[in-house]
Amino acid sequence: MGRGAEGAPEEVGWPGAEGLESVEEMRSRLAAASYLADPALATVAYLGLRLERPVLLEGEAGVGKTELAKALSRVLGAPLVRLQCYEGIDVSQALYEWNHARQLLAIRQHEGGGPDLDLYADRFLIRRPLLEALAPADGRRRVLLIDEVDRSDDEFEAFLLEMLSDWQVTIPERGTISCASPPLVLLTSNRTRELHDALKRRCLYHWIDYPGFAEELAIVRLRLPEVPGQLARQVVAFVQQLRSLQLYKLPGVAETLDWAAALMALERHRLDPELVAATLGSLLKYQEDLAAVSGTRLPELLAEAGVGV
Amino acid sequence: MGSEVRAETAGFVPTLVGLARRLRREGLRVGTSELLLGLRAAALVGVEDRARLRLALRCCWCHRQGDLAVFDRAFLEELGWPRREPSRLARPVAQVTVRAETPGAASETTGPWSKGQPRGTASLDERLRRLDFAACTSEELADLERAVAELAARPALRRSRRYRPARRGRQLDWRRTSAAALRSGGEPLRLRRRRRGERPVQLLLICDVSGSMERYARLMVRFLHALERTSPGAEAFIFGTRLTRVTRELRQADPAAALRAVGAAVPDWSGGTRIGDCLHELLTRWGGRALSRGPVTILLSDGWETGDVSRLAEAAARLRRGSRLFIWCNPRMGDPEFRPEAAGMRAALPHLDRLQPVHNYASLLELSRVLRLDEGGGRSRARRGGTSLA
Repeated sequence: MGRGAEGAPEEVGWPGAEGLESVEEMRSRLAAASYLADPALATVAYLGLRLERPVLLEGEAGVGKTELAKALSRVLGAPLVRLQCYEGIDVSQALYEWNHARQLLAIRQHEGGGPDLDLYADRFLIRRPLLEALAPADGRRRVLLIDEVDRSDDEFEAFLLEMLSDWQVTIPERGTISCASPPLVLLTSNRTRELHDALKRRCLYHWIDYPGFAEELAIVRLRLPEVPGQLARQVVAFVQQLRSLQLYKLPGVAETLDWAAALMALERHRLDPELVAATLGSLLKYQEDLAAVSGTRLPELLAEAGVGV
Repeated sequence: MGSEVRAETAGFVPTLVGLARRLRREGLRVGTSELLLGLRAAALVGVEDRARLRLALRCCWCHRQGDLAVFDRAFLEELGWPRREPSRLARPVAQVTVRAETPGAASETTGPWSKGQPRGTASLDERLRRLDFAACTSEELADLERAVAELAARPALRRSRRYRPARRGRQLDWRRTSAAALRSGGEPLRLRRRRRGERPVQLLLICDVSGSMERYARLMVRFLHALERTSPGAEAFIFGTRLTRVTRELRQADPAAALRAVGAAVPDWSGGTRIGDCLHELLTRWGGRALSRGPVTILLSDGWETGDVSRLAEAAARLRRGSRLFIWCNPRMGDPEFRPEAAGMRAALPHLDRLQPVHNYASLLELSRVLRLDEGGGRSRARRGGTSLA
């Protein structure tokens, strides 16, 4: 990159997108990358890729929003760049920062004279995730995950909107950097607040729901092939049962996988009330929820989930 | 863009435009840009397979979870349902906004909130300021309502995570310091500093409108409206036997219209009270949103509980843990004989940061002072000044 307005570089393709011409193909490739997507999710991922639009994923925690980005990065053969949002995040943490110490040192060294010193050369630029995704140093296209965008604030949302609308960013000292091969962008939100309308309208929208029994069982079998079939069925049936209860925080798929892995680590292959009570902490993260489920109700719940006691 | 729309799709354009128009009528934001996006998506996935078409259009034209069910119904009716795939999405849709007609003139909106240090409106005489709402005539109430609408004009501030340049900031602002140093030949002649900015505290407002609160309810809702208007991001809920979220209803500027919208949205005015159950619903269904930023929580209720008081105690404990400050406001405290003896009140007492009266204008004024006092995180500060809970 030189100084001033950057010339638009040539468009770069996706290494793994060869023959990726339909929703069904997207679905099967995601499955090959260990991610089971339902048709709706495969559709939105496919359209995001082909229409070059950011995809906004909403849903409860632990339903696989972040996982999708990782799987897409594997499918497309493109490195994943992740930006975790938090309140107060700004350009210097998300886009770029100048290496101030280095600039000052360079001036000292330069005091003796010599060729012109360019204080805004690449070696003084610290590239943060968004710049890395928009203008990658190695020229490879990226998958960009902007995680938990609802945690950021209005100012940052407005900045994101600008970037996602024109696929360009401005560094005042360098000029505008535009991007011919935009990254595939996924934004996730846990809905702790409503995002701004303009940002939503820029994105393709998808709501990820908890999976049904069959889907969740398939996910467990795919991700943890070492779990015996009967245990997997019992685990999923019990988690599905929990999700029908009035709890503060329902367990997500991530918790199901954690729990199954925990049971395997204990080398237990059948559920019983005692075992469930001892390991319930993998599934439920609030004291009140634990209290509501454990104790006298547990055998009853297990029976309802079809786990013979 | 037009060239991307293939021949077989082109014949389909009027149908899709028709669907888009219908969705617009039903409240979805399907503008021209969404329409074009939808046409491109349709061209990509083809229009023969309805199931595929539905999913493609849905992610282009929906912007929130609540849109999904509306979209699915419209698609079904306009284009016919494809085989199989019953939608698991049909979760309870949050709430339909009631749009009340705005009366043209005669809206006594609040003054500009910059001038509104709530010192109390001059026109309100001392007698009226001390008068229990329950004892007011309707003219007095009208005066009070106007005064209440001007209350709470300045939201409390908390420290934000975002830094602002500041002359006496605690932190060095490297970016600006070195930018200045570069201008002076690499010599940092002056250190620039920065400090954390401030942001309005989020409020969580919960108001009891059951039978025992009847005489106060209208003014309380007015008060909620004033807070909602001046405190960005405030969430408001109303309950009796059931919980209703009224945040959207209260966001409209005109207080009369807001009041009507709330009235239409709340199914159980002046009925029984199930505080515990309603707070539980709030925590499970809305907790992630309402409590995520550590709000100041204000519960307006007299504590007459007909449900299970232990559930109320549990919910109150959780509310307090999730809140920066948990204030219970009880209009019965206007009575000099008041003791917190209602079963619900007694159960919740150990879990409160403050117990405040809200029976007259002076007490509302005091409450809005408490809200402003909470600069930073001040549970301890605010608690110190509170009514003794012993």
